[in-house]
Amino acid sequence: MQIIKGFKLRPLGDEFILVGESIEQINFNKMISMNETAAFLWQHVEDGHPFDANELAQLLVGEYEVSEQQAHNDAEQTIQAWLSAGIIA
Amino acid sequence: MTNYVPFRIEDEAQKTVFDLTLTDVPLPEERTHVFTDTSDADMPRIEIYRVGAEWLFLVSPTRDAAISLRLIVSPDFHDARLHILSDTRFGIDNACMILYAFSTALLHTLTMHASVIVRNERGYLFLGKSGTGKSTHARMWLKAFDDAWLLNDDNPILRLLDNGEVRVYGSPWSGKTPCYIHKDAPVAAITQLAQAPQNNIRTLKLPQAYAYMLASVSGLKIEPAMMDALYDTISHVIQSVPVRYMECLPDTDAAHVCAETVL
Repeated sequence: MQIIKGFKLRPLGDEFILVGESIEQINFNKMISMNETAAFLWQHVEDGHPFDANELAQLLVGEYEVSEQQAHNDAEQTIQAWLSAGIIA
Repeated sequence: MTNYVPFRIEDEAQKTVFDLTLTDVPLPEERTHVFTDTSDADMPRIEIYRVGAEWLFLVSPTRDAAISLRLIVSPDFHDARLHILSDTRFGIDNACMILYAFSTALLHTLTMHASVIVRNERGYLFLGKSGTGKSTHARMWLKAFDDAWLLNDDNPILRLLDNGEVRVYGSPWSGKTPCYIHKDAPVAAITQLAQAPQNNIRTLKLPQAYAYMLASVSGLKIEPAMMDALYDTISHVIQSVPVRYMECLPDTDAAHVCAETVL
């Protein structure tokens, strides 16, 4: 997995939004809202390095009190959500 | 150009927001296309190019119309040269609006696409795409309330002041309605409108409020400093002023629901 270029993560109150602000995303008219956990993960991959569910799961285990199994499920779900939102490929 | 008269200032020593010169601008041969904004068939079509460090804007009144102006703008959006090919009024208004919007974006100022009613000395902004009935809803307020008046019908200015107050101002641009009023008011509420078979209103969560605000603000999506500034202003505004979503009919009951619902 890798992020698609041209998105900017913006804090908004307790939440975050991901906005297409660039020439690459000039026609991306959606806005993705993210909770703190999703934003935490995004910040780790927004430099564009390739990642997988294992990497996200390890980040979750290191940051939150979750089991390996739970972290893995959450990481998989996050990746599916990001894929269908069109912000990673 | 009587729409500018109410906004004239006597003190010519004051710092200008932008300087615009009417002149001949030959179409630069060396230009790099950045993008073309054709989001709405009824809205002006804007082609944006880079010419060295400067910007070039080619603007048509509607998506399929011929180009009516060439505008060359300095990198900081302060100095510009305008060549009008057709429709002088459209050319000057459009160039001034672009320059005003882009050079004040860094000053906690938003050039909005909205209608604004003032009632009890407080401003109510109505947002929505062209054709959703912003003007119609504003008319319903005028019909419903004797003490309501129209501040602007298309392009009001919203400012976040240093003390945190959010105020709305009239402008020389008001769409098809000649309403050029040099007055301002604190903002009571911002309401995104949608046509529906009933009247009903709800508060928007921050992400949705942000999305509707961003869609109603003039800005250059590809200019990082401008987007940082717009984000800063909009995120403060939507956390200090109620932003609502209203499904409405074109009737005075809609004005009552919008005015009297405290969420």
